[in-house]
Amino acid sequence: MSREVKVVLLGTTGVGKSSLVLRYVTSQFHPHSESTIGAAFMSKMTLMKLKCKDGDGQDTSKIVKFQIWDTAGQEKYATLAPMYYRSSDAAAIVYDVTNAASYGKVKEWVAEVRENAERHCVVVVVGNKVDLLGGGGGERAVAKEEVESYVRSIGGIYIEASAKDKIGVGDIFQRIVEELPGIHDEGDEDSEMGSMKGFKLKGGGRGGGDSGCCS
Amino acid sequence: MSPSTRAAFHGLVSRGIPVLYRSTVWDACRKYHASGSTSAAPAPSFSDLVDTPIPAQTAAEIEKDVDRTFPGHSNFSSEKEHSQLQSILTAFAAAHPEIGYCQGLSFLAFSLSLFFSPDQTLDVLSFVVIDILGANYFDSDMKGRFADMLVIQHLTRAQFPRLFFLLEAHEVDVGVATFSWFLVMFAGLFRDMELTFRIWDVVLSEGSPVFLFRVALALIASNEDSLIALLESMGDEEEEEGENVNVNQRLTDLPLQWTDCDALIRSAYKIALPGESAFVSFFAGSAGTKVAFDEEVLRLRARYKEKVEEGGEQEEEGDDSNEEGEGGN
Repeated sequence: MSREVKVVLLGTTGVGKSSLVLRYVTSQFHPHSESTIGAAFMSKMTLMKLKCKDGDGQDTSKIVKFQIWDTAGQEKYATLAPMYYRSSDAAAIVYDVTNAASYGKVKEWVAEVRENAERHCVVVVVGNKVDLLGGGGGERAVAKEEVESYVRSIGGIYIEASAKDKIGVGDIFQRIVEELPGIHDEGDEDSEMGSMKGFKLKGGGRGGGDSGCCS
Repeated sequence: MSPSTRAAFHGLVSRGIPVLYRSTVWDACRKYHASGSTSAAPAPSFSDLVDTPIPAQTAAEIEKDVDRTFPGHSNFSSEKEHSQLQSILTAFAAAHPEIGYCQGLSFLAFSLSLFFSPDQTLDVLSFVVIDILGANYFDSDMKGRFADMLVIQHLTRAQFPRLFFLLEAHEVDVGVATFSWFLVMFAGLFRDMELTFRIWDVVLSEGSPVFLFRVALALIASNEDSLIALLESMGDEEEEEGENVNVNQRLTDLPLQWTDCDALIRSAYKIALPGESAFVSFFAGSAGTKVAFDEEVLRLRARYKEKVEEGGEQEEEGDDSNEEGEGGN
């Protein structure tokens, strides 16, 4: 009864995309990590809490297998990005909270994902490196309220995180699961999905139920 | 070079250039292959290039990546090495404004700098990028790299039809999974850098990227059966729940399984077109004989490059590509 969730990380170079993935998947952090060549792929299977309660008012949960594409941030690689976000369930668009230029890129990525990714693709904007704020050696480059109101305007989710200090990283993936359309009521078709998956069953199955059971 | 001398030379190179002579031979290969393609004007000196202003964004991208290139390598702990790599990449960006800086270049540059002075590193890096891989591997839209992704897909389909069919069914794209193999010519992808350099011995002496495709297919071939078994078991619900299998990662990480240089080079030479004798291709190309596999790679590269240039980046489903069809059983 698991559900596969494809997540792509986008954002300009050096904002910490790989570090967020590494922190989430392996609970590690390397201050001097290697720059990503092309893209890296990681996966994690985990039990995620769902938003709605069952009949007895208890929390419900589901096994989710995250398939995470971590992309190279340099502008040139933008032409390759569609290969990664094309069939994604969610795009985590990352910027560095101390770097205004990296926030500028967020808007470009949001526009591109909204235009080209699947309609149900959940957009999460991640302000990373909050450990640098408040005495950490950096200053916030864009007011939090401004970012929040922008993200609200595009129907996305905003999360502040620090891969270094382990802040907000799990929330990114938790919120993605909560926002995924149809994740709650998929259990029955699962056995079928398991064997059929991949054989061009794309989208059809999941995109259909547009609202979760809570809304 | 007479054909027999050339054959002897390539025979020796394929057994590995001794570390002591590697820089000399690589540089001689550069001069041999690149001689025709350089312009008549005297090339600007390394120090001039380092001082040539480059776009601020390029400089910033280089600076960001210098620290993030082989961060664990023992040769790369001091300030001096960092600033050297930075100046090599800066000079490269000045010498090749159509490329500037592209992520991946720092890995090539650093690996070469283990053998050369900074100015020689720049020369050999330019040879590798411009003459071997092609500038359009690294320029603004990376169409050359993109075209070669289609080439490796095509070759995989031809060589391993059953595996290719299963990969496609599971939405695993060989071109995507092997992206970095070609971009940095396996720099840093093997546990032992000597394997990378043994590949480079052949690639630089041939002045052509064809051998990279041989290596890529040899890596896949060595895991063909286990990948097929893995993909087939993935239809199986219980297996899937139990194990966190990850075919993309498995493919990308194939180089990590290899430690034996000679075995790898030998397997790469054994790759042949269906019907072509593997022994014919072994060293024959170096003797001037046309090797069917190598010719095919060159033909495919030209064809897909044209296709990508035309803007037809969609996977071609037309012409001869469907011939293997459903493949497998």
